[in-house]
Amino acid sequence: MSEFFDRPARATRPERVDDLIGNELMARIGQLDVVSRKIFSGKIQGERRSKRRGQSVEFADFRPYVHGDDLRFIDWNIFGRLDRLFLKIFLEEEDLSLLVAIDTSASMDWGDPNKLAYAQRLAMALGYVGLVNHNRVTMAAFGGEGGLRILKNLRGRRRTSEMGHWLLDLQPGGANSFEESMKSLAVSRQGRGVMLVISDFLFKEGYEKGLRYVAGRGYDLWCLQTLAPQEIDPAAHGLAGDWRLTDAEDRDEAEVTASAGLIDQYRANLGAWCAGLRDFAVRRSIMHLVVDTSTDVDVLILEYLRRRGLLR
Amino acid sequence: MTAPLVAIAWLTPLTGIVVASVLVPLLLALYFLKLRRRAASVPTTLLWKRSVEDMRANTPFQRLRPSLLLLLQLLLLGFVAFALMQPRMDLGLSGGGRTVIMLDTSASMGATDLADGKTRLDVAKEQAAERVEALFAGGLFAAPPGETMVIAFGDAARIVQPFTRSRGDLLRAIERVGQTDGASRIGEALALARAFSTVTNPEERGMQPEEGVTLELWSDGRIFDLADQTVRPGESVVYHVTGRADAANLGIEGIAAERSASDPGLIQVFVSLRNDGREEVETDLELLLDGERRSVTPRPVRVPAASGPEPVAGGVPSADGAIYKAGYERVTFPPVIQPRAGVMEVRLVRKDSLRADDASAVAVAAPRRLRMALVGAVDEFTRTTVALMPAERIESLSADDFAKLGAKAGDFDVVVAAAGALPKDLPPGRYLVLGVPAGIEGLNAYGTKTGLAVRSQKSAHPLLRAVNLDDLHVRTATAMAPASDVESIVDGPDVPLVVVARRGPVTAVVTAFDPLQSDWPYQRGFVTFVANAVEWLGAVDQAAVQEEHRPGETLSVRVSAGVKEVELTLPDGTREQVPVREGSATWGPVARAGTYLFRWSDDRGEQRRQFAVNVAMGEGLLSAAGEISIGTQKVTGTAGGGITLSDLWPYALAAALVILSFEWWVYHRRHWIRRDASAQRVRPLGAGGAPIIRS
Repeated sequence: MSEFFDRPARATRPERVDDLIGNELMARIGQLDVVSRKIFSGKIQGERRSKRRGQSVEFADFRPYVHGDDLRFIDWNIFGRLDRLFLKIFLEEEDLSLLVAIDTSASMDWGDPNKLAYAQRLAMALGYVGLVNHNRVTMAAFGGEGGLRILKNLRGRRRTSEMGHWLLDLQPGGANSFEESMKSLAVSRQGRGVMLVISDFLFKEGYEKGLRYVAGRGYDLWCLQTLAPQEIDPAAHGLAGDWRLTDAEDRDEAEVTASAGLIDQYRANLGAWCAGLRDFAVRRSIMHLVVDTSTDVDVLILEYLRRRGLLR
Repeated sequence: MTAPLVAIAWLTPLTGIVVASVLVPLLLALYFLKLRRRAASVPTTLLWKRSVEDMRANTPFQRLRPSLLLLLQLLLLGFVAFALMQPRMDLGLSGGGRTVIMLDTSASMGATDLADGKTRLDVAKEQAAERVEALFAGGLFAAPPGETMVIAFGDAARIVQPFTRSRGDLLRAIERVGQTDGASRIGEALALARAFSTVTNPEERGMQPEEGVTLELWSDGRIFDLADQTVRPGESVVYHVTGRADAANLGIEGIAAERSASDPGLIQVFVSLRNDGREEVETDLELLLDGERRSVTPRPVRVPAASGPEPVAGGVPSADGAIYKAGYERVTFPPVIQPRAGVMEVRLVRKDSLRADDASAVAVAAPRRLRMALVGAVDEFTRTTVALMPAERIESLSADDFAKLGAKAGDFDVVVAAAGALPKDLPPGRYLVLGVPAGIEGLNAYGTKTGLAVRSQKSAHPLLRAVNLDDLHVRTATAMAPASDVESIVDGPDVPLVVVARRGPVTAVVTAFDPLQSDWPYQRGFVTFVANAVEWLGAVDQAAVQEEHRPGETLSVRVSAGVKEVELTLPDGTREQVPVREGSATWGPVARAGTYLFRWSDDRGEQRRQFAVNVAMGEGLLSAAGEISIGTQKVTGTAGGGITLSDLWPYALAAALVILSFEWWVYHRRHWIRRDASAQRVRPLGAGGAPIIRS
């Protein structure tokens, strides 16, 4: 581990659905549900509370009757007591769209644990939560050589295997534009719900334009920034001395002499990059989370994502 | 005179050259050699890229590319090598110790051969002021300023500012120094400097030479008494050459005026022109009488060029024995009518860099015959000689009659007396005494000598003009041991034979023998001597014919009894009241050339007396000496400010240190990544919510 840069470990990629999500984790997260910070409406009636009030079992409020209202919702008990017509208002329950977008660019196929493998496991776990709660789950892969790939509108536990195999088929490589991918995704997505973007967000062209396409517009957006421990502290993993660093995506080279001062500066600038993303996200009501891939997926889901309110 | 802009002396140049020749190629080789780097893949070079510049080809050597780091490192090595060579140069810093600023104020320093029409003295004062500023400028490696004094010297030296550490006092003192038209003599200035310097021999006192006295001399090097001086231990002389070495000048060296013997109303003027240039010069001359032009030379006067080697300052002849010879030409003006007293002035109708010697004047008294008295038993030879001289009146008086005259004896211009006929209390006047009188102090007669012959005579003295005493034999003479202020002009084997004594208002020419006790009356020289003596005595304090003075002399007029004060008008028009003491008003020493006018009133009405003061002889030689010889020591001149050599290596090392720091900064700056204004570290898990990176 400490000599990652000298002898990078071969990436251990999940090969089976069980590698993506184990039974134990499935059991532990089966009780969770995806939470949106708003109440969203969907096309079909689901288990979701909506801001729209209407037919439901959950009482919301009263309001005076006006001409044309449905007589079925008049509270006759109040009419008997007060001799005035009031209408009972109920919260309407609707379904939720869960869109998980995974960055499969070459930069994600790096690190130990591998960032793409981590993203696959995380997407699988979150998608599973969506499926078991009958949410409309959509998986998308961007940044890879094949351009934007989408697996749309999965619903129900029985689609778990299909989703798992789709995730297993993802291959890293290429360096497609984040902006173009997000633009396409924003156009193709339907309904409203929660959207998660799992990426390292280290785009040379910047992340701002891409995120602007998908922020808002009915979706509660989460940015899960996955970084390998070797990125966070390269000195602790063997980056010291004179190096010729090659960009995984565009093969660009940078020759550096990794002195302590330079590493410190690198860490400071990485922090500044992440802080910049967080500031950008906060200004647009986007949730941002930096994820170290050495963090277990189940710990991330069961503790941090619950604590942050994505799951409950 | 041209001087290098930067004069640097190297103590150990070879060391620096060797170090530079080894280290610089080594540094370049290091830049040619390619660094072996390990390869690694990273998700993105985004965060590294900005710190990376050296993209190298896959070869052992790379092309040398412009690199700020290389430049800085070469500079660094350069400064280190520079420091190792121990360069020294004049930074104008104080070396500590005492400094004497000596400013030459002689006439030649009034030349305007330097730029901007300033005189040499102006330039010297500016440079001296700059030197003072430099001495007090301080600085990282400068010693604290020592004491400094200012001396101005021409004919005489003057302490303008005694030793002080006050920069303001020194600058004001330098500003006060004024031009004179006198000669340049440094002996008195050196004596004054030494009198005020207590540390003159630092070796004996275990002190460093720098703690001695630095004599900073601003001059053109044309100092008459340099060869008579010596540089003492502990003294270091810095000679600041002030003036151009190729400065040419044409001036009036001397002037004389004589009244015609047949017609005293006619005056003839003679001038001598001196050319110190290397080319023949033509000029017109004009003659002015009391400021009005009276005559002009009918055709330009040609003055031949100077010849011989460049004159060596300090009087040391050149090695081949050749001597410098200025070009001379004499001009005689036609007689002009001037029955009254007046000032005859001759001017060059030509401008050169030294104005002071372009005009020369002489005061001519009104034609007046002498009033003479023969007192006592004066021999017949002398009586006959005096009687033959043109005189207004010649009276023969006995000793008693003369004694009765008292103060009125001063009315006689010359008194010729036998030694025993004069009273002990000699009244003011001018006397030719044949024999040794008792009334004059300082003659100190102690006996007689017999059988004397002349051993030596001062032939240049006016009294002995055209007088040859080689054949003079004296049978009996009074032996004298005159005081030091009594001038002996003819000496016998061990006693003086003719002396000149001045005792306040009394001037006396005294022969130690009665002429009849010698064979002198039978010689032609006796008549000449008596005539010379009468003329000379008649001219003392009262011009008989003409008078010319030089700067440094004192001007004196003899006035009638009862006059308390005399008004003096200086050449620049200012007036001064000069008090009268013992019948004379004396003013001086004279600093500037020009016409000085004394005026006073007595019972005969308003009296006037003019003096013409001309530039000191020899000051017309303007070519500044690049090197002077003080005794046996040669001092090479420097142009401009001081020459306190300061070590430069501390500056070089300081510069190297700065460059090293800058190089370090540049090196690390290249590996820095642009940090946003909001840059901050990735916060640990849970802090603030968002980041969960573990470090």
